[in-house]
Amino acid sequence: MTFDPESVRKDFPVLRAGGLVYFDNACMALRPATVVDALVAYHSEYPACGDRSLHRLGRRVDEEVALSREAARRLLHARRCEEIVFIPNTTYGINLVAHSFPFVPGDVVVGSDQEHNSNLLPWLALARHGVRHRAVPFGDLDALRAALTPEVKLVAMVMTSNLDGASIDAGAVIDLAHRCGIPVLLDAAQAVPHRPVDVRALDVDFLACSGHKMLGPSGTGILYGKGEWLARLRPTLVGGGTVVDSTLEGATYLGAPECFEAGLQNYGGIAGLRPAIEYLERIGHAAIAEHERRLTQALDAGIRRIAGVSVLGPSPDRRGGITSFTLAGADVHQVCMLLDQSAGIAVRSGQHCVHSWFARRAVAGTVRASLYLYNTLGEVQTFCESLDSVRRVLA
Amino acid sequence: MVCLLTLLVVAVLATFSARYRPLAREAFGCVLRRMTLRKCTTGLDDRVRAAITGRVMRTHPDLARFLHRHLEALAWTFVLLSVASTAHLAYGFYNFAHYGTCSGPVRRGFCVFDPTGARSRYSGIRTGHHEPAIAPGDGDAPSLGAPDARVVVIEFGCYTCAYTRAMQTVVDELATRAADRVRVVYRHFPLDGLAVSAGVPCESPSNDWWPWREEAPAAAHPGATEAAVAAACARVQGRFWAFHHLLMTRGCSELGEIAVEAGLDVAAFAHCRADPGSLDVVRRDFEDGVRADLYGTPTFFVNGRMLVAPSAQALEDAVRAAQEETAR
Repeated sequence: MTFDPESVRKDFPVLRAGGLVYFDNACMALRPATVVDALVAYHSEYPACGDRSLHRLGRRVDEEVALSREAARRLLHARRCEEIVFIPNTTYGINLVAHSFPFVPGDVVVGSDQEHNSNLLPWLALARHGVRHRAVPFGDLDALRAALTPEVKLVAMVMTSNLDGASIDAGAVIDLAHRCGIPVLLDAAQAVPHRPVDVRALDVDFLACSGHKMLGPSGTGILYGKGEWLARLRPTLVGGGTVVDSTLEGATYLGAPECFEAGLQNYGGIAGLRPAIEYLERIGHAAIAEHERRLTQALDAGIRRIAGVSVLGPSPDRRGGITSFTLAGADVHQVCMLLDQSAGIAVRSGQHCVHSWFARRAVAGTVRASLYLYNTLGEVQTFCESLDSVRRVLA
Repeated sequence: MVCLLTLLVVAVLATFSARYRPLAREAFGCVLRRMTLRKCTTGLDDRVRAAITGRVMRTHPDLARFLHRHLEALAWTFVLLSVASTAHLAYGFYNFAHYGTCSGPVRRGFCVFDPTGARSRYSGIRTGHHEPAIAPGDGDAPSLGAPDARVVVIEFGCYTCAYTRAMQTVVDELATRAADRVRVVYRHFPLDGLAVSAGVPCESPSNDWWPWREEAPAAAHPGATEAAVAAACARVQGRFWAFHHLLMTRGCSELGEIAVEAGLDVAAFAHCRADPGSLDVVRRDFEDGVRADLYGTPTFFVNGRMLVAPSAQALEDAVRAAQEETAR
């Protein structure tokens, strides 16, 4: 279950020129040529509407969307394609559930205390409808058990934290919630790109992930929902493509997924999602996870030798491809910019959209290096050496 | 100050490209905050610091460390230099607008607005005169034209001044064309400031003038006073205009040869030049010029109206205006 990252790199146009060490994959992954080709093909060969037009271009769009939906179903091991809703990004998917779920005033949504804003703010926004959010310590099953009171109607939790790469025991969380009759939504933006995720094995009710974090085009994502749960949602973003018929008095809505895909879609992006998924399938998620684990261990060992470095989160073999750290006495943004300017290393700095976590700890932010299948041990070594040089400049 | 320096650069770039306008707006906001003694909160200064330091880091890590630590001080230095440079530029603009050359009344050195020097029409001098200007009379100086003409054009000139010499054809044409209506008077204003420098070759202008130097650039026009004294001595023999025209056309480096060519009694001429009293005529002209607040040659007074290095047309216009005024 291994692959040669050097040969993989040849498939990524942006890496061919050299001079770039891309360690910002938790934010946005790079795209292989097949994805770029698919995007170009849509815009140059069949730039038409989907699900509406009966001409040959329209039919081609429908075919490509159907193929991508099947690829997404396969990726997540969903039962049916109707359980796959195409969305622009994970944030959109979580908002879609938040505003479509049949909440009533007094209901509670439970999450962790390490949620990305995308899985926190949508629930906080429901406060105006009388729905409250309750946070439990990340990964603490006992706290979760205690929090699952009768008024809890949904558990919405991050599967792998974009902050430090730590993952929850998703199976245990879902099992615990289901015992209380509570459905679970997983924010899997940092999980699906990096390891096998089987929604049927997990028995998860909702799961959202982004295409642009798994080699796909930006502006694409997948919302998985169990058929019975999607049927219970009340579509809130409606319009063209969501109805069977409409009158001036009302409308008859289509079923999932169409009723959640209002208006013309990002057809080029959706078409580009399929080659991205196929690329990941060809390499294999297990091989990708193992590759990232090996790189993360090397990176962790390398930066811990540098004076003043403090690494967040669990041991490297449990962090996926993410390593968040601080450098004593140095501004994290300065570290980020100096790595970029001096060595062409792209990392992320700041609070990574998990402001609530940093606010409670009075930490200004971290530098985050996030790895993926095309990163190499050589790049890790370059990163460690460059970080040490930056430390000497900033010391 | 890093923000201010950034603003100076990106403001220029933003003028030509929308790409830099958000950055220019950010830099402007940052500068405004700094001017009100608040910290720049956008991180622009940090980004600029990192951009500079990071590039230098690749090849000179120690220099990068120095830059990272002292960039603010360096930025202050550049800003102060920029302010000084801008002030100097404004001074150049002022001089150009007022005197036609960047360097002020004593024109020396390269002027970016007039790189070929084509717009310059006079040689300058700093006399140090600060009293109210007094319009000069003819000072019993040599003149051409009708003695009772109602329009009197008094020229203050210098034989080492290329612009005085270039203007001579205009003056001659005026004196010939309007001899019955205009009297043209020539008075000496040697640009070496009456510095008698025997033996120094005539006409060797120097370019080492700086605006903050107050002293008169005596070395700028060596031989100017000697040439003026020689002309005064030619006048003693009644040969002023012949000698004057030869000086204006050929320059003043060979006074002896010119004296012969002008038909002077060479022995009397030499005796006159050697007489310290001969300088008095030139001194009187020069001092009248100083009192009139002259700062360069050629300067003309048309019935008392001062014209510094006028074009031929400007001189013509002034003469016509004076004629019309006196005709009323």
